[in-house]
Amino acid sequence: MKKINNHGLTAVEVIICFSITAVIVISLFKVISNYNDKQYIESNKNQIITYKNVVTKSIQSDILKNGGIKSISPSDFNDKYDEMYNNKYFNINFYYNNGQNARLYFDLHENYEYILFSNSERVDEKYPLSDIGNGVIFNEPRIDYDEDNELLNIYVGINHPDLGDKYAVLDLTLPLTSKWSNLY
Amino acid sequence: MKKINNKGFALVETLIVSAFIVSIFTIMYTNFYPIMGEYEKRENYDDISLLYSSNLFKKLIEKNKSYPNMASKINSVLNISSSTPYAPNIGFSTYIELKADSFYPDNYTDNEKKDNSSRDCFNVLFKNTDVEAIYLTTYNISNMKNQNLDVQTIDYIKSLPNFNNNPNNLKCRIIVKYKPEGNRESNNKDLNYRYSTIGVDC
Repeated sequence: MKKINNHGLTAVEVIICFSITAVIVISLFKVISNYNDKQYIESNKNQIITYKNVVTKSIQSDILKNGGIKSISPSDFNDKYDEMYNNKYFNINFYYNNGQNARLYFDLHENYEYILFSNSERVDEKYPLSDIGNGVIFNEPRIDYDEDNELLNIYVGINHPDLGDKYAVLDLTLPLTSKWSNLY
Repeated sequence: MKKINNKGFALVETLIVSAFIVSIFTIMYTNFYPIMGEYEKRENYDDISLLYSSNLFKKLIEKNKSYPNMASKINSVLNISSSTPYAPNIGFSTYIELKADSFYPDNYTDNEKKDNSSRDCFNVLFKNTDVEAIYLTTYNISNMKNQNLDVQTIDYIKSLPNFNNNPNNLKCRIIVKYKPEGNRESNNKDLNYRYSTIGVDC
């Protein structure tokens, strides 16, 4: 007759099993939690890069389409920098080679920060900073117009709660056509 | 009567299976971990701002390609490529690093001296866009992948395709190496150089 093994597990076996399982689960939990954090941070990075790509593409395409920037206003931008910064806005008008113009505007008021680009076709493209996520703030933009070399540099860094101040949402080097006509 | 085997697994059997599973996990982990590092490195490659900056250098080269200094550099790059199309070029340089003098005509006329500020333009752009180096090479970069360059640059070049398809029949390519992000604004210094590449009509 067939003899069935009905002894079951001993208490020691069960305890060993549970302890091994517990160790595995705890170590896996740490690994998964770590990757979950990484995924969250990478998704934030992705949002920043997307924001930067969209804004940069919009501005650069408009500039290339209109044959480059001939001049900007205010032409004494560096002198007005402090005034603009204290009032939490920056406003630069681009006058293109073909007679069209566009406007780039930064609003730095807290919880309301955005970049606005009114392109040469009079379409307002507004890019709120809230698109990147909560708690992100603009660092002081570095907008520098090198009058001797007719080169406009715009660098807008951000401070992100998880990523710090490493990333920028705008980093443009824009040569003006009077000196740089060979580039357009 | 049939006798049933109710002895269970021997210790050796259990150990063998456990060791097998552990080795599988180890292999998976060692293969997976570098992929994460690779992904983090690639965020410094071909960023949109870098591409637009490289486009400025592309235009400058195209404008100056007929000047003797620039033309000789372009010719030497193209000659190296055509003379060694299939060889692994260890020991050969298949690129030329561009400097400001590449943009200055050797036998410039007075008018060119007055009007042409390409060399100065190059210097200004070089400084303002945080460029570390510009390498001029052929459009197809298969010969660049075993060059004697620094590790980060070679890593970038190896991450690129060979660009075998050339729909616009461009002959040259520039690979631009930018200083690490954070030089301008951030205190959070990064040690990774940034790169971008673009085809040039030589």
